[in-house]
Amino acid sequence: MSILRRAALAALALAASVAHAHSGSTAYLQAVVAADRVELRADYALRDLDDALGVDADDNGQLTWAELQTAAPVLLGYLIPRLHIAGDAAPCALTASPEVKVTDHADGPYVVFQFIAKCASVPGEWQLTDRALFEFDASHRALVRWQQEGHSSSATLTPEQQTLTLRGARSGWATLREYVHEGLAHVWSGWDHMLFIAGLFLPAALRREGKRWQPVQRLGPALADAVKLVTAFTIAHAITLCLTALGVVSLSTRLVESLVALSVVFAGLNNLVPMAGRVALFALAWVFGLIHGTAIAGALLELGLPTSGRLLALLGFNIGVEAAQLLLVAVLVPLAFALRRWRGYQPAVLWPGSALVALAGLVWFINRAFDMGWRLPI
Amino acid sequence: MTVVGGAEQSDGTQAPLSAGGRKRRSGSAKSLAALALSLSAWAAHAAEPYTPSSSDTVLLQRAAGAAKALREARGLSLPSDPASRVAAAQAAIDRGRSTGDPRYFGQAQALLGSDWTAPSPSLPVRLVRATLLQQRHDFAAALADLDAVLATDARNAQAHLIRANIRMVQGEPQRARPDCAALIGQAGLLVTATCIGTVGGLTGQAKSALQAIELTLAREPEAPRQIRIWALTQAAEIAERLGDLPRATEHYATALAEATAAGENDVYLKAAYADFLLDQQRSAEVKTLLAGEADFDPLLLRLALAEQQLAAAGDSKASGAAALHLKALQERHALVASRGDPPHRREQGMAALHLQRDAKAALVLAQQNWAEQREPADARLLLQAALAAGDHAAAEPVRVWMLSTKIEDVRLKPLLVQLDAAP
Repeated sequence: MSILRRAALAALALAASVAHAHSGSTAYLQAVVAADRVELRADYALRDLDDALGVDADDNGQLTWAELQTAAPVLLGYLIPRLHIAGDAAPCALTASPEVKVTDHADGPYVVFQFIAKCASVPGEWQLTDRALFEFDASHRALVRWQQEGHSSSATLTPEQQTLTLRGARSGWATLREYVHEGLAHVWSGWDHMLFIAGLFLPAALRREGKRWQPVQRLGPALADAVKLVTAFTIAHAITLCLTALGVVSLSTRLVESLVALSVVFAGLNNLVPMAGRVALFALAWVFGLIHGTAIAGALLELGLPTSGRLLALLGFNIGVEAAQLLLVAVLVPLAFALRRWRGYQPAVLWPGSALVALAGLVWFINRAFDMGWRLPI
Repeated sequence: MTVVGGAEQSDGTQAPLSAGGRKRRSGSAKSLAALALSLSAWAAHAAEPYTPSSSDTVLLQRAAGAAKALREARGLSLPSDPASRVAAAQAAIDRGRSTGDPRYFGQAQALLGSDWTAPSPSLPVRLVRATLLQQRHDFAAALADLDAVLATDARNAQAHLIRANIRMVQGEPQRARPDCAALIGQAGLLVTATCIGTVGGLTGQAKSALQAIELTLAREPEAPRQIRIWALTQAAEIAERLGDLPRATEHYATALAEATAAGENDVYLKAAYADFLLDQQRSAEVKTLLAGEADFDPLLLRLALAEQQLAAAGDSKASGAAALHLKALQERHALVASRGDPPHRREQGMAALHLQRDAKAALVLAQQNWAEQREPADARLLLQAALAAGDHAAAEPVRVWMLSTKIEDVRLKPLLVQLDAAP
């Protein structure tokens, strides 16, 4: 604070005396993001810049505005190589305003620098790096405020962590595409989900007559049935997935994961020892869908929902899950249909396959429900 | 070796964003989590940039030539030879001590360069590192360095002295005694006598300890000024604990006079003397003592406490000033948390107890503080907070500590009596 300003603020003498905290060296970075551009305001303590680079040209202890203006090119020459903004790991062009300004933070006067970073495209992820002053003072910190689409986040840069990574704003289409992809990936990499579906559709080209399985006549109705079953399952899990991901409901992970394992056991056993008829199977697919939804929500939450476009992300994720399941049905059901009249299908595929599904479900169930801590290969 | 954590934040007010080349998933999850963070440190410092009206406007007044001297001492890059780096770091520490400005400690650490994290650096580096670690209350890491120094050089006086000090701050004065005894013949008489006397003052021999320090002070008028100030401060505190107010007043006054003459800004001494004055309701003197010292968090707290006392005594202007200072103090604490610095729990606890009158929060802070440091002031804070919160069990660790150390302190005993008498 200037002496002139202090005189003018005599009425606030108390506040002025307070406003000189002796904390460690602190810089304040404020970034405002607009599409592919970042406006960066960086405040460094005048005292720190004087210590590090020399602002007080005549060394008389009085740092004047004229001296600061003269030193500004040197200060910028020091800062520019140490400040980086990158979008998706590609450096963005950083231009500095040649004009510096002054401001007051709690521990005295600061020099305000303005930068604009222009990136090649709208990045999905930003990196902000500030390496300034750490080499002189190991207790230097840079407090960052990052503003994007009306949201603010804050972080602290330290000598050990001089780079900050932030998710960028992206178009609704990009969000949708990314989450469709995540939904697909979730089904393809989640063994319990796959086995449940597989268990459900091993007998897709068969229909039960009394206690025996008989081959169906046409592929069309078999496929239609399978799609309906999968869709019932998907709608059910979309409901709980959304409710859980949005924080409306929350169930214990252990309970949910155990129930998912039980549903896999059921899907396998039901092929060996028929328990549910056609209508009951739809009802069960629905109930199990509700359970799987809460389980998938866990995976989605781990991934992180974007603050903007949350609904799009949820929609994309569900579309991805449904698409993955339909793909599975599109492969499994015709295969099962082709093999339906083969003698060996039931003894060599259906029964051992279903037994395997049930067994895997049982192992999962024991592991999850009783917290066994087994490290299973799948 | 523990190094102050990167973006780790205390108090849950802020969580770290991801940094460096982490995997995308965890990175984005973390940064999303951070979107909901409080921006307290920012809110406190939102300041509009301006262009000064005149070229002659003085933006900052510093000691003439100080920055130049600093730059010249440091050179353009880190000195390549280790001896001059350690010497520069030690000089920065000395400057930090005499000004009370924590930036110099960070500069000292930077001067150590990669030696700061080296598993087994040279002995001089270890000593400087231990000093810095102790200064930031990382006692375990400091002790590891000191033990290593003493394993090689069993007579190293500086290492013994720092280790003795750590033991005392940790509330184990008995364990400091061998380190103080090891100073005999290795350090100056006043240093040795003050170390041994301070231990005695905390372990049931306060009267003879005080006499010993006083005698040595009288016999060693030519001892270095910083050591005299330290000895006088210790003597004042022992006298204060013994309830000998005139003697304490005399020692504090002499210590302050010597500090002023030496151009030292001894924040510890001023805070201790301010507490002494506040206990006697001499708040006007505290305001005089600390005028212009609000820069320093511990002194800002005492200033606010003095204003609160004045307000309670009917000074209408003082209550507004106390509120302003409390607000500033809270902003400082928020900044400390944002920076990820180790929190000053003793000061936070005192502010919660005496200024905010939040007994429960004060007790939590006092207990956390007691887990880190156990000086008489920490014991007092915990007893006061336990009493205010009506939680007698919380006072138990202090009672046990008082019995085991046999400490004599006229401020602690009545608090125990009050705790016993309360329902």
